[in-house]
Amino acid sequence: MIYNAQLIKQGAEAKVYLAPFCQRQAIIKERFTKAYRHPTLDKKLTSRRVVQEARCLSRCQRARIDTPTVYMVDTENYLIYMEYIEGCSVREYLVTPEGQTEAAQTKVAQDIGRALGLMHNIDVVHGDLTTSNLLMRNETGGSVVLIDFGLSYVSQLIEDKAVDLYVLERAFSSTHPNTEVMFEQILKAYGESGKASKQILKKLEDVRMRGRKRSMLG
Amino acid sequence: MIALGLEGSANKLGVGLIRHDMTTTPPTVTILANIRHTYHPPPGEGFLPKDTAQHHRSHILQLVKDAMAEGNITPKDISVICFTKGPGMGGPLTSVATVARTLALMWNKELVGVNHCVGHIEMGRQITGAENPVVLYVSGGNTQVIAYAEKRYRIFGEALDIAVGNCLDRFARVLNLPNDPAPGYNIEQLAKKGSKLLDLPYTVKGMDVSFSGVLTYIETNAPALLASGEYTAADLCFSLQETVFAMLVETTERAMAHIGSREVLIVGGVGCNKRLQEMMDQMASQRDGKVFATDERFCIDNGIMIAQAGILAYQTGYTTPLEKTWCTQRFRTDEVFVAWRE
Amino acid sequence: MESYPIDSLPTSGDIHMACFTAVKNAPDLKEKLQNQDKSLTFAMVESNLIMDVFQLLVAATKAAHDNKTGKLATQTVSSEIIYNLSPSKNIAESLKRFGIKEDTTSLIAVKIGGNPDEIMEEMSRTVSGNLVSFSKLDQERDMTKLRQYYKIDPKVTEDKEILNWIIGAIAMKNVQ
Repeated sequence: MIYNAQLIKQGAEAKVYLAPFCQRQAIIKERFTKAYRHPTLDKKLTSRRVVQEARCLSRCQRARIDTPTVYMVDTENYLIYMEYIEGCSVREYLVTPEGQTEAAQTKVAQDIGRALGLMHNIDVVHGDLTTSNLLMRNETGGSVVLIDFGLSYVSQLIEDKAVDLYVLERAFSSTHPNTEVMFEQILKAYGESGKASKQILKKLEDVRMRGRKRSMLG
Repeated sequence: MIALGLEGSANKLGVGLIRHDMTTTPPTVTILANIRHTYHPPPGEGFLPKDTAQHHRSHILQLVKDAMAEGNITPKDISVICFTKGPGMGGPLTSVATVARTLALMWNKELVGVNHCVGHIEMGRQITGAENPVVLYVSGGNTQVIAYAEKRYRIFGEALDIAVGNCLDRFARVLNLPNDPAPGYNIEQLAKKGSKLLDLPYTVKGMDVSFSGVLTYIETNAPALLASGEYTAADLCFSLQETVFAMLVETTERAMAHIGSREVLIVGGVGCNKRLQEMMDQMASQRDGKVFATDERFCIDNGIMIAQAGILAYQTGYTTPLEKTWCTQRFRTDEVFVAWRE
Repeated sequence: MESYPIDSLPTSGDIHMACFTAVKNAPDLKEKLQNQDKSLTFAMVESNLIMDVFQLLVAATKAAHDNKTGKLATQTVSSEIIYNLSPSKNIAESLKRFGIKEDTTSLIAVKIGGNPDEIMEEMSRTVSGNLVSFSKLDQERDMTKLRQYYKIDPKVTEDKEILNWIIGAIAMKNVQ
C-alpha cells in the first residue's frame, strides 16, 4: 500500500517501513486495525494512538531529547512519517568488540541515563524501553536516540516512571548478561539529570522488590 | 496416584478427585470426580466473606462424600490432599483448609497447599493440551497475562485496580441481574441482544489494564442512559464487554509478540465467556495462532484444578508440612516454584 | 525550476518549485491573490522564511494529501501550502506571514501536478524577477523571524536541528 516501501519490522500493532519521503529516506509506521475490536472502538483507538505517539515524539523534540523528527501524521490511514536514523541499536552495539569495552559502555550508559532523565522530566513515559529501542546515531558518532514511542504516554506518576526504568532493567538483564555495572551507570546519570529522580529511584527499589506489581487480592 | 482437591477461595466450593496413572509416560490422567456448590447472594448483592465461609462450612462434608462416592474411592486410595492456600478471601479459604487438615490427620495423608492461579493454569494445560501458551487468567478476583519462563509463571501484565470479573459483576448489580448461575453469565446473555456501542474509557498502559475508570463511568451514566431510552440494558452490557475484552485481547497479544508464542490459553471464570473466546480467536488467527479455552466445568473455580496442580507438585516431592498449611489472601502467581516443568 | 515526486501520493503529480529573486511586481501579484485571480495557479511563498527545500516539500505533500481527502483548511491547494508552512492555526495570520507581501523581493513559486514546461513558462511569465537556483536560498533567510514564528528554543542553534524543529512544528499542527 505504501509506495516504494521496504518493510523493516512487523510488530503486534504496527508495521514499520523504510520509504522515500520528500527526497529523504523516512520511517513510516503504520498501525493496523484489529479484527477482534468493534470497528467504532478500533477506529477511535487506532487514531488516538497514532496521535499519542506523534505527540510524545514531538514533546521530546521540544525538550531537545534526541528522538526521530515527525515529518507527517496521517490519522486517516494511521501513518506516522518520521526521520530515519542511521545507526545501530544499543543491543547490537553491546555485542561488538568496541561495545564490550568499559569506556564505551560507560559513555553509552551516561547517554542513556541522561536522555531518560530528561524524558521523565517532561512526563513522557516510554512504555517499552529495551536496548533495541535505543539507537546510536552514526552522524554524531554514536549519541543515543530514543525510538519507538508506540506504547508511550504522558504521566506525572513516580510509579509509572519507575516501572519504565524497571522494564529497561529487565531488558538489560535478560538480553545482556553481566551488564549490572552499566545499568548502575545509567541510573547514576539518570539521577543527575532528572528532577524527581531521587523519588523515582527509590520507587524503583520497591518495584524491584515486589517484582513489578503489588500482590493482588484474590 | 490419586489426589483430592479442595477449593473455596471465593463463592464456589469445589471438590475434585484426579488420578495420575504413573505407569505410562506421560502419566495418564483421569478425572474421577469434579463437583461444585456455589453460594449465590440475592440479586444486587455481592458475596461477603462471612456468609461465603458459612456456606462452605455447611456444604463441604457432603461434597467430599459425594465426590468419593462418584469416583468410587475410599480414603486409602488417596495419596495426597490438596487445598487452596491463596489468593482469595480469608474466611472461605481457612474454612476449607481446616477441612483439608482434618482429613489429612484422620486419614494420615500428606498435604499440598496450592496457588489458586497455578491451579487454573495447570488444569487448562491438562484439558486443552496447550504446550507453552500465554495464559490469560480472568476471574472475579484476578486479571493476569502470564507466561512461563525458567520455573515460574511470570506475570507480564495485570489489572492495576479491580479485576475484570469484578467489573462485570458490579455492573450486573447495577442492572439488578440475578447472581444465578453467575452475574457475568447473565451479562453475556444480555449482551447478545445489544448492538449500540457506548463510548467508554479504555485504559491500557503497556501490558497492564485498568477497569475502575470504565466501571465508574458506566455505573454513573447507566441510569440516565437507560431512562432516556438512548441505550438499552443490552446495549450497555454489549458495550462493556466489547470494551473490556478488547483491552484483555490487546495485552494478551502484546505478551504473545513479546515472547514469540502462538498459543493462548484462557482460564478463570470470565474465560467461559464466548464473546471473549471469539475475540481472542480473531486475534490469534491474525497471527497464525491458536486459542485454547475450557468450558464451565474447568474454567470456573473447581476442586479438580487444585488436585491437578497439587499432584504435579507432589510428584516432584513437594508437600506442605502441617504447620505451614495456613492460608494467605495475597499469593502471587510468580511466587510458586514450578518444579514440574522444564 | 525543480520538480519532485510525491512518494506517498504518486497519482497527484510532482511538486514543482521555482525560486525568484529581485522580484519587481510583488504588489501586482499580491493584488491578483487578493482578487482570487484564476490565472494565478501556483502558490507564492516568502523566501526568507524557508530554511530548506525539505520544508517546502513537506508542506506541499501535506497539502496534496489533504486535498485528496477533501480536508483542506483553506480554499485552494496553493493557499494550503502556505498555510501548512505556518505552525499557527490562524489562517489569515499564516497566509500573511508565509505568503508574499507588497514589499516581497524574493519568493518561491510552488505548484502540485501538471506539465513542468508549461508550469515553468507560466511562473516565469507571471513573476518578474530573476530565476535562481535553490542553493541561493540560504542568503534570503531571516533567522529572527524564523525563530519568532516557529518559537524555536534559543538553545537550538545548529541548522539541522532548527530544520527538524520547523518540520516537527509543521507536522504536529493539526494533530490534536
